[in-house]
Amino acid sequence: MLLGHYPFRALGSPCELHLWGESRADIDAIAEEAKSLVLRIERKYSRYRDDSVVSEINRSAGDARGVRVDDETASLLDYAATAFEHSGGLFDVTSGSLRRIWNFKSGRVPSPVEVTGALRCVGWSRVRWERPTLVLTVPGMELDFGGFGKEWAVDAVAELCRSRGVRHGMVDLGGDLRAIGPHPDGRPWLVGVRDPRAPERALASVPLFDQGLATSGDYERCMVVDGVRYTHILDPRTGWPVTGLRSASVIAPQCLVAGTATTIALLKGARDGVRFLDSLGLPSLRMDADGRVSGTLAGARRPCRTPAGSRLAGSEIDAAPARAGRSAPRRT
Amino acid sequence: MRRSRRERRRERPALRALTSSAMALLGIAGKASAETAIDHYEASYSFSTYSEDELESSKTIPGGERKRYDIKTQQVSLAAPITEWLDFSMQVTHETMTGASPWYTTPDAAGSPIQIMSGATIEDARNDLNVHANYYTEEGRLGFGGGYSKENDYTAINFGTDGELLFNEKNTTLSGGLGGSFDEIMPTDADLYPTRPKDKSKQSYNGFVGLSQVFDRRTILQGSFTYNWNRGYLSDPYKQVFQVGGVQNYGDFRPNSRHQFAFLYRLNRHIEETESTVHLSYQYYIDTWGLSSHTFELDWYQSFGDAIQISPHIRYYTQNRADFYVPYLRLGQRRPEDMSSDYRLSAYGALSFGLKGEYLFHTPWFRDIEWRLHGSVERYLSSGDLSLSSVSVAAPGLVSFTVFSVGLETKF
Repeated sequence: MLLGHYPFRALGSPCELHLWGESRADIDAIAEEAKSLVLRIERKYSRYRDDSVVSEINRSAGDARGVRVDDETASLLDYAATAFEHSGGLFDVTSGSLRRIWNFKSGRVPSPVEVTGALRCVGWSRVRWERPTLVLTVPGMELDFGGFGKEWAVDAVAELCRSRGVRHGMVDLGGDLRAIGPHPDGRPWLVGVRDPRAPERALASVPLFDQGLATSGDYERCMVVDGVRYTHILDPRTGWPVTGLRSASVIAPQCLVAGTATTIALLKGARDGVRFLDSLGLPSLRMDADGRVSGTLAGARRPCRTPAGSRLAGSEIDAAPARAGRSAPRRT
Repeated sequence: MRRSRRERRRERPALRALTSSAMALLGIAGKASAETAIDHYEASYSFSTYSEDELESSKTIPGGERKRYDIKTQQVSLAAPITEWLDFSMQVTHETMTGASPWYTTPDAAGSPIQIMSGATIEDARNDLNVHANYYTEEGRLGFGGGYSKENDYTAINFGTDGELLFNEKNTTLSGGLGGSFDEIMPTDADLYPTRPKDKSKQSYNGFVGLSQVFDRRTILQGSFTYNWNRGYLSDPYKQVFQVGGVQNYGDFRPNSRHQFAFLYRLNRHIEETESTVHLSYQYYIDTWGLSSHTFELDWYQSFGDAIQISPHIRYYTQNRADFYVPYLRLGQRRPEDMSSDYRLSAYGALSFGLKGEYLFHTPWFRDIEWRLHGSVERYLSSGDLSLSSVSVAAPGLVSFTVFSVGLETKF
């Protein structure tokens, strides 16, 4: 068995596949296919491409006929609807129009008037979704699949690799992870959860078998204006960036579910977010505004500097099998 | 602080729901799927058979004709986008009808009415063409349509306009329409039957307004009012009224004007947990012939995954009789100005139930094409006992029938 590493760039992040296989040719071909799947997803759901399905949907805003979407998009919308419902309306894919006014590269904080204006176009309840027809009822509404598209792509790639015969591997798309089985010798993948205030450092090292790990944090895309940190996670109720939790990481059978849980936790804020994560019964790690760390993963080994030259933006992965004697991974 | 057990139990479903939704999503993630085709063409074909039960032997004279109507219908429809804001659709129907129909009723030895069927087997065919175009704007839709229908004794031409206006952030839809139909009736064998006119016409004008309100993503409440005015020859040239001791049967005489009013309420509710949608509706109808009716309808659309939908259906209908309904005229009874022995104008109730199924699939070699195969069966039973109004003697001609239909539809 040999382990191949395939770094590439997609979804605005550095990505890497780590695949175990019998021959180089086998895993090269699978990695190539996996990369094109990620690029297909990016093409299809990017807000920044005019020819994407998301742009097509967004152009239809205000058109009562709506748009008919394909099965894949329909299932994503079904998922978004479920997440909206189970987050008390916080996980909202219609937050897209807020992105127009919150440009984190500009260093400019929008005025309350702009925020209120943009909020008129926000709200899943203003969407009529009757599979396969989606109607964005308010002109100017915009969907943004950024909140879960990357995590979904992680799972999709893992499923693809598995269907091509990969039994041991790791998918990393910009720090959102999914392990395909353990290493061939049965030992878990060891994954570092980074420190939101010192991304080059790992907050904890987490063993993963066949699970997804996702992290949301206020370090990902943010800006600091007059000493105030504005994160990219926007509250659909107020239109303003959330405060409260610096980051949250969750392990779940699917990376998508893990990512949704972390996003909802950050949206819920320090107290309710922590409660929400506890209630899910999934292993988690969170850091509050004062830098205090809690959660079932907080007791995990707490070492590690990211190895020099690591291409991994988010979490670090030790590609080599973990040594025996490390703490047993927690299965969910 | 730890949360109570109950609170925990309340939020676990969130994980279950997200996980199962994620699994559904991942089930199709690896497959290549078509890039969205939003504007598409539609074509469909359907075939259905309508067959009426034979008349019970106790409801007609011994040895009398008992066979009733059979209708086979074939329908082809096409819909196409013309521009971004204009679409066009058309529908062609071909029907063949055979069988006998209720002619008049006479009393049996005990005085109860029995049905006499038209002796000759009727063979007829109907061809029908309908076209419709829709123009869409930001605020709604405006449609125009027309149709032409021809069978050997009947020609009808109709046209109309309908539209929708959306407001209240498009949660409220106001709809309305106006239409007219101009029909010509040329009864067959008018020479043989003195009660049959040679050439008659009738017109009908209708209008409707409706309001539909979306309450949340899952609930829609609709209300509508329809008005229809028929004028001209509204009688049935193939029906007669029998008089005890009469020399000859009378024809069917109905008033030459009829105003009809219908009020419909409908609730559509989607139940996410079970992937089902329920349509519940009630309609009240009243007209100037003294007839009024209530209709209750329940449709349950149950999805099993993306591909399969099974929909059971039940409908209950009850009406009282029209002012001028008579099974037959008694000996010496003065001939009323208006009279009809048509069972459809008598007091009765009807129960129908059915099952529809559809299967959605894509051709494996070209995934842009979506196909929908559907089939349904419906059973309709009517009788005087099912009526909510009191029925002293039920019309003997009340019908029961079965409809089977299959169809294939494609979008590309």
